Amino acid sequence: MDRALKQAEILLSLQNATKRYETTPVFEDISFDLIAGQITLLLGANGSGKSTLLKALSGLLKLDKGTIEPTISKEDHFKKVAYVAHESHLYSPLTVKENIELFAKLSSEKRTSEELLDFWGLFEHRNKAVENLSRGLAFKTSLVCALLGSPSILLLDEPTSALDSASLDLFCATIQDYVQKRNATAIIATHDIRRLYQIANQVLTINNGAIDSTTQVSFSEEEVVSIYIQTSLK
Amino acid sequence: MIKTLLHKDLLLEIRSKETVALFATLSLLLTVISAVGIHSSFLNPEEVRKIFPVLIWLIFIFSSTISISKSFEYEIKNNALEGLFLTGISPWTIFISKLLTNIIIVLAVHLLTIILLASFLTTPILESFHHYAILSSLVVIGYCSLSTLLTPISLSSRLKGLLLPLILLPLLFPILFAALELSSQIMLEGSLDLGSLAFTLLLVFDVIYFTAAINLFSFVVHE
Amino acid sequence: MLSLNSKKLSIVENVLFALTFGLVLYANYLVFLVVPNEKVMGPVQRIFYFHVGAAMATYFAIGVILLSSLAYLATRKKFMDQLLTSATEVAFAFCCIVMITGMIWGNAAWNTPFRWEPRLVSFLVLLLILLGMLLLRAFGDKEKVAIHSAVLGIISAINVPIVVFSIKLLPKATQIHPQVVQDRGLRDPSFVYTMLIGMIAMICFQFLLLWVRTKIETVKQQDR
Repeated sequence: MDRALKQAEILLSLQNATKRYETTPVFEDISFDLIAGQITLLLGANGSGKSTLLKALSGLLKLDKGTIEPTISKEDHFKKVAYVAHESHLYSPLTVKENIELFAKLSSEKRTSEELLDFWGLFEHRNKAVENLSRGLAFKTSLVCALLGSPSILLLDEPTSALDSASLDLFCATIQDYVQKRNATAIIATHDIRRLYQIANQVLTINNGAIDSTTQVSFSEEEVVSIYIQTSLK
Repeated sequence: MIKTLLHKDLLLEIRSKETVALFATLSLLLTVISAVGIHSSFLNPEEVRKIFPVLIWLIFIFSSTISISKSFEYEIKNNALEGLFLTGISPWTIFISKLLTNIIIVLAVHLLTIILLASFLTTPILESFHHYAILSSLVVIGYCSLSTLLTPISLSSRLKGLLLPLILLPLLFPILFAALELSSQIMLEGSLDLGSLAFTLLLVFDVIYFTAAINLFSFVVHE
Repeated sequence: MLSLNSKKLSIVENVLFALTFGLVLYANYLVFLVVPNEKVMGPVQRIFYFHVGAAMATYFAIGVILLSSLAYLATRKKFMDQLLTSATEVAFAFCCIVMITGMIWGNAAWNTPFRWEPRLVSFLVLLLILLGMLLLRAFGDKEKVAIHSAVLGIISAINVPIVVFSIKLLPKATQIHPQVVQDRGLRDPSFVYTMLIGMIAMICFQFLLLWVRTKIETVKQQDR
């Protein structure tokens, strides 16, 4: 067994969660755990509720029923969570550097903005306003900002769609490294099975409001695709 | 924390300049229009002094309510406000910082407008200017508490920023009544009567609106 | 029992309906057939009985606005939001009744429908506040309108007692709105009795409207 699975330290556990949009349920009575050292892929068709689920896990969206454990105050939960969504969560008139410095100060991050900028190759763009950035650069900036203050639960919503091939490899390596070194956990909502299957330890598929979970030490691409197709046909 | 946020809010305003530009230009235009109107109606100086408070508060209400929601738009854009919450910062810190920024901008432009309107209408105001400054700060505190609370509500509606005057102005009436009464006092008697009912009303509503707004803000921005 | 889910009226609802209907009829009978003409004003003064009743009903509806807003923020129960929607509309309706009856009376008494007098202005402001709440309901963001309305409801409702109270502090000379009850203007005992019945009838009517409107709102949301 994998080292991370043996410890099985549950960082976040969703219990019997239900979320409705007006009267139609997005997901109903679903439960799963996120375990330290694991990377989870969240698969599902468009409109299946992946983004809603991630937002609910971040604490920004209130569940209609169910709980997120451990039950701690909202502020403490936010501190533990890094949430990268479709929106960049950045101030568009401010520069990359100013945004990073702002969020670094607010999350009491010790590293300097230069160190952070250097890593993703953002240094040469540091004085550009966020509104003038390309999508990929904006995504990298928001990823840097989200990871400030060493959160232990990473919620990543379609992170690969804006990245070029080289950045994608760097992204996979970084997330894997982050999760293992800090004993964190990551859940990635994605359609990009081809690039991300290698780093996954758990695959969640969401379909018609219900969720299926498969945990393995590692997956092959065919396995992930077949899991996805099986649940879609249910 | 508040210092960091305040720095961010002021920097946002310095970069975008939208609120100040809109507010100051609208105030200037309305001041000129009122001055032209007063000039062409041949009022004597005594009558101008009587009508001065009405004009100044009309200009204030109109230009500030149209421009104040601008300062919140960058919080909504890219969902930056959610980003702030995700750092674990409490909503009331964000509220205080937004409130202070709004107060600084609104008060600065408003005091300039008073001087401008007074000089256009050749109404002597410098001797009683500090009374105006005290009165304006009190009005602006109440005004900004309420508008900082209601701006996110109006921005999420289908009317966007235009809903703000419709829900803000009726609630402002008590403050405006007091402001009109007290500024007429300053105009006619040259000083602010701190014991008057209007002054007490103004203070009471400042306290109520501030307390209500700081407690209700998290409901408005959080789910 | 009072039941929101049934589309038919229950026994209690029928009783409330019958009680209100009877009271309103009785109040009309008293106002138009029993109470003597007022000495100075003549028959126009009779509108006063509806005016005062409607004003009391408005205050009750605003009380419901405050309570349902607080309850919604605390519990997030859908019912509280439906109650708030109805209370806002009912308060607005009764506020309109107060303004219109007041204007009819004013037209006869002062020769002008509206005077800039503190109590009149305060009700006008109240009308505008309620209008703002209705506009928010109409144009607000669908997902957030309930919580936003509750916030606006609280801040609007806490206004009312202060504004009403502060008028009492103003010097008497600035007020021309008659203070009938305080000034012991009701000499004939039938005046007092009619006024009380008128008030109770209007308040019952207010609660009946409130209940029916809430029920409509519930059924509407179920059928959606």
